[in-house]
Amino acid sequence: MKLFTAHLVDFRNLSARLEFSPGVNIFVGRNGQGKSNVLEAMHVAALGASFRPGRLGDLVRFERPAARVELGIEEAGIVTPVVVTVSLAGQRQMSVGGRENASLEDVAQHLRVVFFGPEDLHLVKGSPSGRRAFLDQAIAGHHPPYGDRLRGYGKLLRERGQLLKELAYGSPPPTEILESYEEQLARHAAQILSQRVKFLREYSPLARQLVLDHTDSRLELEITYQSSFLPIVEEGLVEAADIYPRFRRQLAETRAADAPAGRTSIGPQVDDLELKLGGRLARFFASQGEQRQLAVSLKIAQLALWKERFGVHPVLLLDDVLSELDPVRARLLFSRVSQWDVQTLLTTTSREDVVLEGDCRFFDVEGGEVKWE
Amino acid sequence: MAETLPRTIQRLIKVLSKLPGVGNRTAMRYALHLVRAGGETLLEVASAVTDVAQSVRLCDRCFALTENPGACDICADPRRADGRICIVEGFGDVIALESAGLFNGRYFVLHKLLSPLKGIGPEELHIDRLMARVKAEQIVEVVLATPSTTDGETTATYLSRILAKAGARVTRLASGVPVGGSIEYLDHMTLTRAFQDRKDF
Repeated sequence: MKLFTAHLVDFRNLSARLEFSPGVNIFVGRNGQGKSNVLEAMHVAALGASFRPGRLGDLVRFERPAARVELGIEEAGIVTPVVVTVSLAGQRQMSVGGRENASLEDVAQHLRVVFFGPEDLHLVKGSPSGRRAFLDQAIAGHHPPYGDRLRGYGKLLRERGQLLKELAYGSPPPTEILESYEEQLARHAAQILSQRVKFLREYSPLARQLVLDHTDSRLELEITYQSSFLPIVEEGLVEAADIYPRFRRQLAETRAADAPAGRTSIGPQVDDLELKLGGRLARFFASQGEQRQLAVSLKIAQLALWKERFGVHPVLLLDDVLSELDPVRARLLFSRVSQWDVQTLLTTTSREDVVLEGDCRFFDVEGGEVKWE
Repeated sequence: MAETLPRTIQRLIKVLSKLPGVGNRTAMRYALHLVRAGGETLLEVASAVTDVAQSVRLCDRCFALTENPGACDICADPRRADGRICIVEGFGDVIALESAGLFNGRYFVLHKLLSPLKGIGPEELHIDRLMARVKAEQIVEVVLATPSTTDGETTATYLSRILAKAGARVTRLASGVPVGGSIEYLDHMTLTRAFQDRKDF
């Protein structure tokens, strides 16, 4: 799958027609000109949401009714049109190959993306929420309904939180209500936990191999899912059907302790990924350079896993990452990209950051207009 | 541009734009259409709306829409007393089930789904009235037909718990492969559910 053309209409500050190179596409411009918006358009088309916070309706240019992203995606010589419109109210509509009301999964048949932004470089050292987001994004990329499941879970967490507060501060809700929410919460949590653990089983060996290849020190990477729900760690539970009843019982047991703050203390929302290099916690013992390298490798491993699963590489979106990487690591990334024939869209403020040979195209982005030679 | 319109029409546009799926622009189109159609059409619409406001109320027993003073037609019909109650979220669901003609029991319309965050608890759903009916009407089966969304599922879970305590048999509408649908285009969530709930054939 390769992006062939794009026509962006009223998407943030952009209105532009683009023709992509099948290799590396470099969007150059000063800050605030709209470089990242190009990548964002691809992200929204492929995953239904932006990598930035905010409402979907924010994507629409000021005083316009809707933003539109029309993509031509090439596979085996055939170009499939994928059109995504977002209204001011945040309504998303998609069509694939002329078929209206397409789902995210329909789009995923033609377009998958892996996004890599500056925050991802802090993956190793940063907060657990960043690592959870990394994991969730990767899983949702494989399996779009996972994202819906997560959102449903988030809502149930807030509902339980409200009930717990009522419990703690004087107006206890009926037991059956609490139990009903906990049952639903546990069903969602069990699915999410199971999918995370299964994903890591597939992903970890690939990541380990890539880290071995990439680092001079040839250190072993070990990825462990650190769950607040101990049976996953201690007994290696994997299947949702096994996790559900135990999780539910534990929810009931934590009720009293969770009540005053209205926060649920176990579940996917508090878990973490533990990354060890050569047996030592990368977060503490790896140098900053090693940590960044590891972050890059973890992303590249995601590309590799995609290839293994779907037979094609996704489109790689690199937002503002180059300036943060030293030349050696940047070159390593590009050598993978060209070796695997991964179509890449990247943004940078300076052309000098880009050192690569092979098929590439430079785009100049200024004031929402995009030009290329 | 709407500011140049007479105040009364502006007000009409504002009222119309509260309807689902109607934005400002569409509301203006409707309003101008009504104005163009002239006096009789306008008054006809107005009196239809007034009539609804004055005569439509909720059934005492199932909370469906009715013009009857006490029970709605379905609740008043002794032939519908087959010992089954179907619980739905909205009145539109009653219409859908009735037009399919497959259910010969009575309904209970919740109008809302549980949500502690929105402050919607069992009282808002008139659950006490439901429980009273289950006891009084010798109900043998309660069919849960709430939507298959997070709120719909949680509400169904809650209802099944309290109804089980009352000793009624509780069933839930199946979800899975739609009739005439192909497996290939089914989303994963629906497919998973359909697969889990498969039955002997």
